[in-house]
Order: sequence, then C-alpha cells, then structure tokens
Amino acid sequence: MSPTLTTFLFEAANFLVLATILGWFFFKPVRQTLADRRDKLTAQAADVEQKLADAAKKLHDVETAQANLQKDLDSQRTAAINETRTQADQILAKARQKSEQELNANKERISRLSESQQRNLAEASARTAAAAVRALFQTMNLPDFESALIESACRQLKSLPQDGLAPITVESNRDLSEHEREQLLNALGPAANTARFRTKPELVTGVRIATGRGLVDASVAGLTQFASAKLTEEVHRTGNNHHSF
Amino acid sequence: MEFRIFGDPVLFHLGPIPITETMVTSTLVTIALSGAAVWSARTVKSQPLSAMAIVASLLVESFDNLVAEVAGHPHRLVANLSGSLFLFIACCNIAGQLPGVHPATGSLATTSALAVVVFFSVPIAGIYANGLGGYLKHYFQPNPLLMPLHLISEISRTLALAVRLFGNIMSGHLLVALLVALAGFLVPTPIMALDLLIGLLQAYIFAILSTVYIGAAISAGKE
Repeated sequence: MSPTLTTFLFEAANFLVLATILGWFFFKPVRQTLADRRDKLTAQAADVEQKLADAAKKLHDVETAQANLQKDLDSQRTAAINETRTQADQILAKARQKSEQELNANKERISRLSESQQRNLAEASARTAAAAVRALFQTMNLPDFESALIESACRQLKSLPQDGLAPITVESNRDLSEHEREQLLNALGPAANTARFRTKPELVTGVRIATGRGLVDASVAGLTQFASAKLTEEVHRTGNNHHSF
Repeated sequence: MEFRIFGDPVLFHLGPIPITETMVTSTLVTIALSGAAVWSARTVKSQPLSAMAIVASLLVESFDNLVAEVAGHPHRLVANLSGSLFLFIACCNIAGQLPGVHPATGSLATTSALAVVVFFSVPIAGIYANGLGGYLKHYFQPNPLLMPLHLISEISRTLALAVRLFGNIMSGHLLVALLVALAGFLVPTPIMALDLLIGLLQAYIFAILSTVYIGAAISAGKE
C-alpha cells in the first residue's frame, strides 16, 4: 500500500475523528455552557427588571404616603396654629379684661382713698380753722359782736312764720341779760312763752335757738361749724376737679 | 537536517499498513487537541473567568457568528467543521515549530485530505439544506452550459485549498531548515516567528474559505 495514499486516507479519517471529538467534547459543551450562562443572565436581567419595577412601585407608594402624611401634617399644623391663636386671643382678652378690672378697681380704690384723704384733710383744716376762730373769739371777748349776733338771730326769727315755732329752746354761752332776753322774746312773738333758756359754753359767743320750724344758729360755734362744712365741701370739689382719672 | 518536499518517510509498518511521520505527528496533535478541548470545556464551566475559558468561549462564538454571517443563519455542524479545521491546522503548524517535528500540514497528503473533506462537505451541506434538486439546480444557473465550469470551479478551488496550505507551510518550514543549515541555530528565529504567524493565518484562511464554500452551498437554493 502506498504511503502517500495511506497518509491521505489516515489524515482524512483522523480529521473526521478529531472533528467529531471536538464537536462532542468541546463545541457542544462550551456552547451549552454559554447558552446556560446567557439564559441565566437573561433570567437575572428579568429578575432585576422585576425588582426594579417593584422598587419603583414601592418608591411611588412611599412617596404617595409621604405626600399624604405631609398633607395631614400641614393640616394638623394649621389647625394647631389656629387653635393656639384662638386660645392666645382668648387669654389676651381675659388678661385685658382682668387688667382693666384691676385698673378700674385700683382707680376706684385710689379715688376713694383720695376722697377720704381730702375729706380728712378738709375736716382737719376746718377743725383747725374753727378752733383757731373759736380761740380768737374767746380771747377777744367783743360785746358789740355778741350783740350783733343776737340781733342777727332776732332778724332771722322774725323772718320765720309765727305759727308752729313752739317749742323754743334758746342756748347761749352765758346767762343772757334782761335786755338780750327781751330782744329775743320780742322776736319770737306768741311762741315766746314756750321759750326755755340754757347755757352752753361750747357756743363761745352768740345764741342758738331751736324752733319748731328749724334751727337758728347765731353762735361762733355754729359759724365755725358752717365754715368748716363749706371748707370741706370746697376742698372736696377742688380735689375732684384735680384728680379726674 | 533532512530536506524533503514531497513524500513522507515511513517510520514503521503496522502489518501491511505503512506508518509515516505525518501520521504520527497528526495523531499526536489530535490527541493533544482532544485533551486540551476536554480540559478547556470543563474550564469554561468551572472557571468561566480564566484565560483558557475566555479563549475557548471566544473561539466557539467567533465561528458560530462567522457561519451565521456567511450562511445567513446559525449552523452548528458547519461551525464545528470550520472550528475543527482551524484548530487542527493551527496546531499542526505550531507543532512544526518544534525542533525535529515535521508539520503534518507540510505534507500534500494531509492538506489534500482536508481539502477533500471540505470538497465532500460542500455538496452534503447543500443537499442537506436545499435537497438534491435544489442543490443540483445551481449547477445549471444562470445557464446550463456553465455546468462544466461550475464543476471545474469546485475541483480547482479544492485543489487550491490543498496546494495553498501545503505550499505556504512547506515553504516556510523549508526556509527555516535551510537557514538553520546555513547560518546556525538562532539566525532563523525571526523567520520562525513569521512562519508561526503565516501558519495561523493560513489556518484561518483555510477555515474561512471552507466556511464560505459550505455557506454558499447552503444558500445556493435560496438565490
């Protein structure tokens, strides 16, 4: 057998055997492995796509929930702010009302205190003035002034209606003289027979006659009391004008 | 160093069958390639990021894509044949760079055997894809008078496949052998590197031409 022909046939057979071996043990398993890997990657990619879709859906849900929560939070915050403002207004109104009440009470208290002080001051001034005047008249002992007071009392008695004067009480700081008593009885008219004479040293000077129609006071004590009352009234009026809150 | 262009020396006889050096070399290449293929297939599965696995995956996918582009659709058997041709020829050429080893592709018997395999694969693939009538019809197109030219073309391209590979490998090996004999051991190193490159290039050319021929036969009935 020719070596060349033998080699030719052997090489052809050898290559066919090699191609078969490579086809079965190289190309086929490598192709299968690559296909499996490709399928696995495709499955993983699909899985990743699915997970991405799930994640996107969850993200959307979370964002929606977050938006709803934010909305609720805003509404609750607005409601709380409004309620707080209302409460603050109410508290402020109550505080204003209370402070106004306290202010009015304090004004009233101050007014009363001021009036009381004014009254005390007026009364003290009047008492002091009356005491001073009384002391002055006690020291001066003026007979003309005393006569003038009695004449003044007589004029006042004469000006009163004659009916209803009784009973009569005549008070003086000393026992009146006959002439003085005569003057007074003449002035009293028909009611003179009911007159009773009493001594009251605190009158200082002059007389004070109590009648059924009223009191005729022509004494220094009465004058000083009248002056004291007028002074008190004047001081009180002046004080009210100066302390108007 | 022994110079030879045609004819393989017989190493021994196995009964009436003479065993030539080319047969031994190609057998060793087949055994080594089979082992490497099994190992790399396992590596692709167990260690997909290793260099061997990446090269093996790249090789398989490249030939699958090449066949798909040439034939118009994926064809695994054709891809297996093209890949096997490339690997076998490339490994034979690389083995020829080893000292004292005569490349199997440096023998006209080997290249002729490979070309004949391709020659018979072309009508088989064409008939498989298009049927007998569909395949034979393309011999009579565009004009029945051109049928002899079609036959001559198929025979001549098969002859060209065999002679091109044989001529390139034999000439490179012969040149290296001449330089070693004339100038010494290290002088032919650049030529050996160029011979290695030419060997890989010729393996690729043989594989891709085979794919084109088979792909043309597959798509012949669709034209």
